[in-house]
Amino acid sequence: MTLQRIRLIAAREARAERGQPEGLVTAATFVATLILVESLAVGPLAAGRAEIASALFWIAMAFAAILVTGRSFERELEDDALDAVLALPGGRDAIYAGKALALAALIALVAIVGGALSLLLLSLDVALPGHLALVTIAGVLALPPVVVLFVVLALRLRSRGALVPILVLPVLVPQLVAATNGTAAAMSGDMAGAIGWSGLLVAFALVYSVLGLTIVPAALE
Amino acid sequence: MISTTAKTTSALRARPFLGAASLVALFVALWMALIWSPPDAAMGNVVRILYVHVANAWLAYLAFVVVFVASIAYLWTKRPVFDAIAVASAEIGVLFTGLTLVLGSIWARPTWGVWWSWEPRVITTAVMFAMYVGYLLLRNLTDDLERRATRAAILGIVLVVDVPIVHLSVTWMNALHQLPSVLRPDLSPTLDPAMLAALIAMTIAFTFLYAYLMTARVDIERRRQARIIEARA
Amino acid sequence: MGVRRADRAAVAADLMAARAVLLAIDLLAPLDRIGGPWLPARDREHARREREPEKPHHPRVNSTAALRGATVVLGDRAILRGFDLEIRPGVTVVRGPNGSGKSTLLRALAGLVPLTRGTREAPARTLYLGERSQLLRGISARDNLRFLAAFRGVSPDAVGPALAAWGIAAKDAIRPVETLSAGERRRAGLARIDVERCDLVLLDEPFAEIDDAAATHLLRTIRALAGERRSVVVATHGRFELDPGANDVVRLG
Repeated sequence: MTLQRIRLIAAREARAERGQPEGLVTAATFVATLILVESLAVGPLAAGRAEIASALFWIAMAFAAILVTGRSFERELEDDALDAVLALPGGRDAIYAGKALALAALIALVAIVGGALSLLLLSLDVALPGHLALVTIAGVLALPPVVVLFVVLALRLRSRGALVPILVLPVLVPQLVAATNGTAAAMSGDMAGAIGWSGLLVAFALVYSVLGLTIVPAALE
Repeated sequence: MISTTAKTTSALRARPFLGAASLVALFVALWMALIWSPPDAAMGNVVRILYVHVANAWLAYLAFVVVFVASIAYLWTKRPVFDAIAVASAEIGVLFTGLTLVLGSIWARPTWGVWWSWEPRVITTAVMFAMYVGYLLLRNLTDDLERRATRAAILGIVLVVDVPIVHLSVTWMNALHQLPSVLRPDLSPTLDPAMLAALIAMTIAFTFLYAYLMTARVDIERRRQARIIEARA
Repeated sequence: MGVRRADRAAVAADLMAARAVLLAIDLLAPLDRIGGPWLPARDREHARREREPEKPHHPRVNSTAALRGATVVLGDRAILRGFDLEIRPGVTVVRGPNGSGKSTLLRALAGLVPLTRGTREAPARTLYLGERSQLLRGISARDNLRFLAAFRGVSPDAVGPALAAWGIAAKDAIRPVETLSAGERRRAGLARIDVERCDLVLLDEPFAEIDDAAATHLLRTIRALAGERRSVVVATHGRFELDPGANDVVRLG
């Protein structure tokens, strides 16, 4: 029953984003702009190095995840749509997983746009494209559990626009380290490294998902 | 002093004794650290900063573990006293963490020639500092007493899980980039017994200080809570 | 020897006291069955009913939901203080000036507001319709209601007819809700009453922002729910025609 409810929430989120894609469009635009500007700032030579390009990409993705999630919950608060779900039996329990899944899908779309842009703009060579995809998927899975948790923690607070990045970014350090190193490994042909860092990202995703599933229902009023 | 109907607890009565004990212990520990213990074979007298630095680090970890336990206790029982303990310990923890970073920096300059390093423990401490400053920020931006306590408690639990994860990931990253093991700000386990004694004395002194600061801060928080609860009635 | 006799006497006295208390409880028990609103109900049928499919109400149970000693605090103010309320099948009207806690009372019954003190009993099949439409923007009214029905485990087939009954044309039902007027959004929200057949329906100022035709339909719906022995709690300003048929008119503030 709970799995079905999670699926229902994820589907609802996907439909709402399709009807109102501002969150997605803003995030994709933001990622593109950030990558462009950062590349200009460090200079094309430095930006072309695998580690730096990876870092720029994943930091942009972290901000994009915060943007999309924030917008998703703002939409819930308009017209009190969130209350409808919370008042239903099983609502509090299903909402974290449903949102996290939907956000992972949305962030994956942003990653495709941002990734393609990075590769093109910086003329990056990718030694192991399959492994690059693996790391990217793992990274995309590792971000939402943390971001959704913190957006819920800061729900309805004033200054939540600034508070959420301040709270989330230190906690995302392990994920950013793993994603950056994994991406760099995939680009430079280090197969074992890419797989290792991907595994770590999946482990992070699991740990924070369990934490979120246990704790988020208590945070929602 | 804010006058409320809050009762004088046993913790409060212990406070003058804790204060005295802290002062005495600090004096003794500082004497041991600065005068009594021998200079290090490699570092010379610079090692003396480490006694305070390491003691501070341990107390910071202790403070955040107390935040963790108090957070769980609050979510379990919903009693405001645990929220008071959590915020008090978090503030003191942030203070100690900040001191740890500053003292570590001061130690690093003559030893390594740099003010900062990307060694796992340094990064973890810095990230921990940022995290708990965020914790205090979250508390400040929440008005409602119960809502603030609940959210802060959840954050208190999440952050403790984060700290070892951060440490592990930075360690792995450094292993990857082969950071020279020379740059380890360790006091090796095979310490001179006098140095060990000084370190332990400093830790005990700071533990007394922590307890003293806790009683003071928890008392302030309890009075604030009592005032708000009375205002509602 | 002397000590033992004193012990026996003490024990005998305790036994007599215990017997007296038990006798008192037995004597006072029938008062519960008279069922005044301020005495606690002893049956916890609600917990059992949450796990059962929809059935006619057990004849002995006369309470759908209750708040006992409920205190709700928001910010620095206690909005509800030691509040007792028992909801029975039929209509309960809640009246009071703005800011007196009508919304908080309904939200507390819905389980959306944590109680600082006291307890809440409410059936799983509770529908809370607040001051706003509670529909998610970006999707249509039909999709919103189908989601909510599926989430509750109710057949979504009733959505189409329900929306039509509340005056939402088929072509409007499939447009994103932000393209509808405020009145249409409110009516779409009210259509949930027909879709999610609930034992307890909580309506917070439902007559605001809807036209007379919809208001008439709403009154009819409320009376129909009462006729089916479901519980409806309506927080409202005017609409005094509800009062005569109501179980209870709760006045706050």
